[in-house]
Parts: sequence; C-alpha cells; structure tokens
Amino acid sequence: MKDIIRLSIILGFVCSVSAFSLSFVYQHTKPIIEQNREKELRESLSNVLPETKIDYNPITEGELFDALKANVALIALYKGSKDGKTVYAASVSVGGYQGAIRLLIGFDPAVPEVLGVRVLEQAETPGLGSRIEEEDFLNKLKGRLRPQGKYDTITGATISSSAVIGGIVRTMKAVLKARRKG
Amino acid sequence: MNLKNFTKGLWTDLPVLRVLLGFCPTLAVTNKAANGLTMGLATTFVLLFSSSLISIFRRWIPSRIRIPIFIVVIASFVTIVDYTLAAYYREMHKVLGIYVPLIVVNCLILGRVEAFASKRPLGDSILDALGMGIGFTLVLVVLGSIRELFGFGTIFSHQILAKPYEPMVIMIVPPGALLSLGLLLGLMNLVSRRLEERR
Repeated sequence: MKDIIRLSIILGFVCSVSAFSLSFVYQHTKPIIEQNREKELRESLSNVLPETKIDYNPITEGELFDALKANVALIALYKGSKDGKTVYAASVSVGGYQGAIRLLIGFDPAVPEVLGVRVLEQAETPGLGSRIEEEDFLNKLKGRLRPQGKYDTITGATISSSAVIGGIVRTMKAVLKARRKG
Repeated sequence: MNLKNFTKGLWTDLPVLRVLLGFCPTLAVTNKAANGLTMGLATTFVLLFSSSLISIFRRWIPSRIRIPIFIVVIASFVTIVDYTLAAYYREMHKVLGIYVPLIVVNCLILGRVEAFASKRPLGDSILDALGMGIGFTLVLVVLGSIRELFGFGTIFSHQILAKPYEPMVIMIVPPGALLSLGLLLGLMNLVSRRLEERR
C-alpha cells in the first residue's frame, strides 16, 4: 500500500513537470501558429481573388451561404469587392482519393464565373494525386461553368482531379441556384 | 566517457540498417531527402534530451514505473518539437503531419532510453544518443535521396536527372520505400560481411 502511494506521487510529479513545461511552450508558440494560419489564408484568398478588396471575416448568412451550405461541404465563405462588383471565395471540402481535399474557390456570382482555385489541404498520393496543386491544372478550371466532362483531368490522377472538378461544378451549380432564387 | 558509445551508432549498431528498429518513420517519410533530414533531426533532438534527462535522474526513477515515466518524458519532448515545427517550419510540419507525434512510439528512442540511458552516466548517454540520432538521420537522408532521385529526378529539390528521364512513381509511394530499404539492407549486409572476411 505504501509503495503504491510512493509510486503514484513520483509519477504524478513527473507528469506535472511535463504538463507545466508543455503549457509554457504552447503559450509561446500558439500566437505564431495562429499568425501563420492567418497569413496563409490571406495569401490564398488574394490568390483566388486577384486585385480584390477582401473582407477576411467569413460571412455566415444570406441566400448564397444557405445555398452553398445545402449543396456542398462548405467550410467558410468570404466576401470581397472588385471594381464595384461583389465577389466571393468559398472554402469547400471534397472527397479525394486518400481523404478530404480542401479547396478555395474564388468566383463572381453574377456571371457566374470561377476567378481562381487553390488547394488548401490535401493528402493525395505524392507525385500522382498531389499534382492537383499544379498551376497548369488549376488555371484551366477558371471561367464559366461547363459540364463536368468538359474539364481536363490529369493523367494518373483521374480520381483526385475529378474530385476537384466535381467540387467546383457543384459549388457553381449551388451559386446558380441561389441566384435564381434571389 | 567512452567514444565507442558514439561511434557504435554510426556503424556496428547503426539504427534501421543494423539494429532493425524505427521502421515506421523510415518507411513513411523518406520520399524526399529533406523530409528524411527533418525527421532524423527531430528524432535526434527527442532522443538526446530524453536520454540526458533520464540519465541524470536514473537513480530516482523506481524500476516498476520506469516505462510510464520514459513515455511521459519522450512524449513531452515530441510535443515540444511538434509545436516548434508548426510555429517556425509550417511547410515541413504539413509534410510530416502525423509522423511527428508518432516519434513517441519510435522503438529506437524507448529502446535507447531503456537499454542505455537509464543505466549509464550522463556523458556516455549523451554520446550514445548523438551517435544513434546521427546514424538514424544518415540512413533517412540516404534512403530519402535514393527515392527522391528516382521518383522525382531531384535530390534536396536540385534537379539531377533531367527531362528525358521519366520519374518512377513507385519510388515515392510506400512500395518504393520497402523496395529501396530492402536493397539497402542487403547492400549493408554484403559490405559488412566483406569487411569481416578481410579481418
């Protein structure tokens, strides 16, 4: 019995020293980690909505938000203004080959037209599926909505690139729907 | 202090290739040389600090709860590495992802702490940890370079094999890791047998 108490105290002591030092490191690194995340988001946003004044606080209501929420796995929606027009960037999640792919799609809902696409996160096969991050592929996704078959997939990465294309087509269809209602 | 404790990690007890421990990170992150290097350095850091700390306090650690204590110490240093990478090397943190937290269960670290640091003085433990860590890093970099060379045509992102060479995708997916590790193990056995025969 005495032994159990002694061992518990020692182990408890080791754990509290560990917890204390970890909380110190955490407090130190947390602001930097958050800053990085923020910076990355801003860079991606200005990438998919070039020359646009962007509001970095996501919007959480409105016709468009509801339509996207109902039709795609929407993570966040951002608003910006470009030459007097209101443009949006939607961060959506689609199912890839190995897991979720997070996309950021910048679009002008009035046309509707895709202004730019970025891959925020993906865990596709390196060298094959991961090629969905290449500019060549992403740039071809810009423009007005086309039927799914009219987009080029990547050889050797059919599933991953189709997932990205499907995500864009579904998002733009939801935008069309919202416009018809409004 | 005995310098042998350092050098054994570089040849006779070389991690992965001679002492067959630490395969999970070896197979998982070596599709590029830079990934292997970061993983190796992170592991060396954890090994060095865990070994030193446990060596200093070895007389006060009751043998019946030594394993939980080792794990808590190792896990703390791994978490420190994880946060630091996320804060200062975000790109690398993204690439290594889940494999950084998994350093906790790398048998190589627990093995060295249990078999060496918990029984020896600080100086020897530091030498042992450094030798093992550097040996592990070397193996990861060599394996990463081989796979990157054939899989991407580059080493440390420098182009080596140019355009007419068609990158072999198999080298950067898990089967390529097993193939190249197997060949490297075979080569290592061949070399060390030759050396022994000569002696």
